[in-house]
Amino acid sequence: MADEVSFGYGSLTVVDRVSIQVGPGETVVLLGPNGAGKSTLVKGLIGHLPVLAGAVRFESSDISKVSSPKRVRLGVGYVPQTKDVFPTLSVAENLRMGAYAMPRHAVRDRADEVISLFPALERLRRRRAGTLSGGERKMLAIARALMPSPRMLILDEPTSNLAPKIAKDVLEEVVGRLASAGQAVLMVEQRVEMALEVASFGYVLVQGHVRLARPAQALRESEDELAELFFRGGAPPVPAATGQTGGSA
Amino acid sequence: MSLYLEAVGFGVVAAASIAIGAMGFTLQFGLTNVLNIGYGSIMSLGGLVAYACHAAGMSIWLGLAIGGLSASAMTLLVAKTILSVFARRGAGLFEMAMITFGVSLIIEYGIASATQNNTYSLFLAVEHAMTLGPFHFTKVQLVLVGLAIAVFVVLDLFLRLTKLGLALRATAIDPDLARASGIQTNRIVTAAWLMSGFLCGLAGGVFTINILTVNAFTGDTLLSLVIVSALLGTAGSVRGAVLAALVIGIATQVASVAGASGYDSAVAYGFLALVLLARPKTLQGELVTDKAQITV
Repeated sequence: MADEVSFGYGSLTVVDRVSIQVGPGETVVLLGPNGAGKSTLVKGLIGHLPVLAGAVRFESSDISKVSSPKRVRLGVGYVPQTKDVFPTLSVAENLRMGAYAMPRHAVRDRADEVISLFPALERLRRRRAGTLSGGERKMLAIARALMPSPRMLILDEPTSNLAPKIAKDVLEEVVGRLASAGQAVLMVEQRVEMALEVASFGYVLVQGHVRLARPAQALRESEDELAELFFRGGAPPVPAATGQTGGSA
Repeated sequence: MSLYLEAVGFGVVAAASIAIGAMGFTLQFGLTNVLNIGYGSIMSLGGLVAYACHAAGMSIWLGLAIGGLSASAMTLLVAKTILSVFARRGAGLFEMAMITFGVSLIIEYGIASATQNNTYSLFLAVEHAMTLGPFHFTKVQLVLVGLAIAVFVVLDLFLRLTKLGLALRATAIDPDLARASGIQTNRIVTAAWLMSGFLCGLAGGVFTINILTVNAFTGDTLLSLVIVSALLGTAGSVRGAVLAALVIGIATQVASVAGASGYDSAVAYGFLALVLLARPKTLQGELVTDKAQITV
């Protein structure tokens, strides 16, 4: 997905030569302290920021210069951390907007398919998105992003602003269900333990560099190292070549 | 008392042009975040083109449509040439408003120069007024009111039921999320310029038919009423704009009967001030985005 890529704002480089790979059906989590550059990396991957160096690749194509709407059409879905639904549109209208690039006749069937993944949304189809609870809203946000059947889904802190119990439900049930369904997911998350429970691989980003790249199980067993990285910045960056290998997205 | 009742009837007719203009203004402001002071000059253009078509022997109703199309083309031209240049340089809301003010002067004085600053009178067939309860309307006035209602119904259904209409609302609510949903927002914003420009020209034409005169500055008379209606109706809400236009139309006509003739704008702004005092959040609506969408 990210190949030695750098992103920033103006002349300021925030994410510097980062490489990240997500394979088909994998759930990869991107961890790091506040200010590590996680959100900047995500904004760059979805096309909201220009690539300063390196490349963004999707299924072996270089999509660095492809606009955000076109990346969606290519198969990259995105759920923002906040402002993740259109609050004054109904649930059904939000899903319809998620399917904007799809032919009209296919939208209804696809909406039924997506709602079957999130049955709680069925009775809420006519409800305004702004009136949903935090958990329902996040389900809708993910459902909206799933409408065009993305082969890669990027979730920016899906449990942000959610109560711990609902956060756990979202990660275990919603994200877990996506993983079981073979959906490739790249997820930025602050709830480290919960995220590593559902992820298969993890990267730790500190000050714009990848400091750790390991299977989730190995990261779970590296509590001291993680604490060091989160609180003190830790060791020098992991060279790009030592990132996860074998992924295709 | 009967004079006041008749004023209400005139107010409903006056509201037709205000409502059409306010629907266009609210759509344009909501989608582009440009407070277009030049909207009045484009309304003048719509009125003049409608007049010119009628003077050339066409039906005034066909002229109205051609006036709308001309205004739509002029609006897009201004947006794609002048406004986009300043937008790329990061002009904010206030700067863009000043730029559109400058554009309005160029358009208005350009038209004034081309027309030798003439005021044209529109001559339509003389008709007898029809009586509807306490109100008296000519057939043309009823058509204007009917046209405004038809525009409202079509626009409301369009925004609620069609893919493009929903995309317009989605883009206004959150352009970043709209892009992340696969919506090519630059095309949506272009559609908004075209549609709002058409409504702007149509409003100018309807106003011209109602007052039967037009010149390069006619749109300015209507502009303040349009802006107040758009803001009063919860900026960005088409339904709110129409309701507010009705209130403003009636209020200005009733005020005229009460002795405030010629003070339409003062009455309208006074009304807006009172509403804002009572309900400060009036200006926040669905179609109002917090981000400039002026990258036309």
